[in-house]
Amino acid sequence: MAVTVAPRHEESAPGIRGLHGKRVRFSLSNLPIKYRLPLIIGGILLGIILISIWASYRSVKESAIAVGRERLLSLTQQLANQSQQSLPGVLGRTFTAANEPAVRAFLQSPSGTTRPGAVAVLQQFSPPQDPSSLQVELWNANPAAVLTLPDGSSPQPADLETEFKQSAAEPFKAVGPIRAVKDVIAFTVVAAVKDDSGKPMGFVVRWRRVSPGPNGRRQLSEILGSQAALYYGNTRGDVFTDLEKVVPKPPVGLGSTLEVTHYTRDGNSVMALGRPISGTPWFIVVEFPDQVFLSQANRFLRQMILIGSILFVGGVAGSFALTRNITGPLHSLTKAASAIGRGDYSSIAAVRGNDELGELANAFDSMLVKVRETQRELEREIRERTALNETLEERVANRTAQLQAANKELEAFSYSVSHDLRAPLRHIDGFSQALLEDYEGQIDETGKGYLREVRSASQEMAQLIDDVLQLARVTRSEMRQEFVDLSELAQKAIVNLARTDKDHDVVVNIEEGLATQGDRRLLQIVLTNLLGNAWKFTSGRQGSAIVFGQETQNGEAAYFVRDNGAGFDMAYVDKLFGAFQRLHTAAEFEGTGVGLATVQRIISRHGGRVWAEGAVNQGATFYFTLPNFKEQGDERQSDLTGGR
Amino acid sequence: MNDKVILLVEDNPRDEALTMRALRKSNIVNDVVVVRDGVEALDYLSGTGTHARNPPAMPQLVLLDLKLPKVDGLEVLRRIRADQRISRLPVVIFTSSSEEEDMVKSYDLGANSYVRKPVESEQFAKATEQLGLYWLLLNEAVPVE
Repeated sequence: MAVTVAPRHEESAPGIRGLHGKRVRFSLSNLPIKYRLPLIIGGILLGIILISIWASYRSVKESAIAVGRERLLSLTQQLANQSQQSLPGVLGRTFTAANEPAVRAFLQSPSGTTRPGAVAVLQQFSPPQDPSSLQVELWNANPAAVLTLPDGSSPQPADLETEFKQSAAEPFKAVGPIRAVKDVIAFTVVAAVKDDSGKPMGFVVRWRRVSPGPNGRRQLSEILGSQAALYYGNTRGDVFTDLEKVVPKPPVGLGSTLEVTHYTRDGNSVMALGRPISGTPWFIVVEFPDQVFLSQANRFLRQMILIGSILFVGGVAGSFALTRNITGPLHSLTKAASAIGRGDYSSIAAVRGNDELGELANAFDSMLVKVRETQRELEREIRERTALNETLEERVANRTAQLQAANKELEAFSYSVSHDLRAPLRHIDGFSQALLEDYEGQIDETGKGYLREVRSASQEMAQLIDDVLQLARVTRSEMRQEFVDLSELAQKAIVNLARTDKDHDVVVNIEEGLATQGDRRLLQIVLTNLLGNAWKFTSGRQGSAIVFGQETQNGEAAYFVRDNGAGFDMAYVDKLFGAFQRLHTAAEFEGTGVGLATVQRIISRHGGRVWAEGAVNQGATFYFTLPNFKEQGDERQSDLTGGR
Repeated sequence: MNDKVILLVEDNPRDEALTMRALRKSNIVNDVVVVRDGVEALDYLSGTGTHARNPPAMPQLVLLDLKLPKVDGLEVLRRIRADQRISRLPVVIFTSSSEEEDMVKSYDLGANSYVRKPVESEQFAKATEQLGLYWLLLNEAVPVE
């Protein structure tokens, strides 16, 4: 199988790596509290400040713009009214002049004689008499210009058809649109010359300059102030002027909706409002730089920003100080705690204050003092213990040597007992036997009887020696731990007993499968002794029975050997397990009185207990437990089953 | 049968007397050479010391007690097994001791058998008889010469 290993994305990805090659992602929670808290507070503060500045600036700006609009509305209104109000006078004077008889007469018969009369009338509309006037023309009904003043000037080449019709129909609205005439920006005022039937017989056309005179300028600047710009133009949008020259149309709507328009001029943002001048084809636009109205709002904004900055810096610094106030003691506590971690108990947190942290630090310090004291005490105790242990070890070594020596002596003693004590017995028995056999004829029956007693006594003593040796061996031999089938050991003991005493009629019942952990050799002695006793005390009885089994006694599993033999008196139960204690006479039952003492030692070496119950002639039951070894057996069993 | 010698290493004259009686009663009439301690036993077997001028007949069986003066039974056994000429001699430990340690050491050193002297005289006689019959009649030993 082919295995391809893709390059790990992590390795190729750029990232910030820490000292140990781990990627460190920036996160607020990685920051110490002393930076985290001011950062959070600063962030919140900044948000609040920005929002409130924005909101208040907006409302201030809106109201400033509203003020500007009001100003524009009233200015344009005022200017439009002014322009409008001057018109009826102009038109009236023109109309009056146009209907002078001299003008009619000249139009009826234009000649050298009638001309001076018309000139005299129209002279008033011509410069230099009228400085705001460019020139004045008299047209007949054809229409064709018949007279132009001042003398020498020629009629303007303009299409005046609309004005002529207008003046015939509505004489007081006969004002023409603004026109660029060579270098001059001007408009026409037209009045019809009517005959007696009211039919137009000609027209007086006045060309008036748009730019105001010095008086007009002064008036305008008084109205507008220095920052506003004023534009006149035609409602149809073809010509616009700033009263000096022709300019492009300002980008305002030419309707009568009175909307403020915002745009930039020469890089400055401006606001403008235009309105048509009623009764004329004219349109007026007043334009203000935003600055005029917004300067206050901007000043307000600057102040707000300043206050906001102060608030922000103050807030952050304050929260930083506050955090330091909290984390400072924590830092001291941490330092003291890590010092303790290193095993240095000398540093104290030493945080002053009556707040919770101060209390914590005080508690910490008093704990530290306590720990220090305890530690010193412990160290002293350890020193003492160590010294004590050293002498103790010495004492143990001495005692062990003594014990070993005693053990050696005991071994030598039991060796010589086993060897030297038995030898004379063998000799007594052997020579008694030799006497009985070799000198049979020379010794009478009484003598032979005595010799048999000698032999019997020596054999009893030999048995006693063996039992005592066994008792000693049981006490000092090393314990082994192995799997022991108690049922099998009991079986073996019974087989041995049956072999030596074939005549004993007894029913033996051994429970199957009683197994434990223990020393097989020692447990064999236990069962041999207990079953041997049962065997012995049931001998010579009818219907004898011996049982080996297990049952629960006082909540613990106990093994037992039960017989229905001679039994014993419970009054003497305490003597049962003492060495050399016998409850029966030698004539009744033979025995050394060591067997049960041996049993007790073996069982107690296994951590168990042995006890007996019985009654005279009703049998006896000997119980024993093997708890420690039983438990270990159980553990092993559970290991086996648990390991599946 | 007469040429088959038993070497009885036994320091106790009573045990010697009882052993001799038991052998006699069992109709074992072979020569029984009795030595009293370990040194004498080794002298006899190697033809040195008190037995130097008298080259002995090699025994068919050595009955060796463990508790002996001068050199004990286990040491005698060790030296027999260490000596090439006599290392294959049948050696039966015949002792009062029933100590397991003695038994283990004896077998470790190469004893052919370990018999505990019974206290009961009939059993003692029986044991002696059976030993003699087995090792002198039944057992085939490697001849030593």
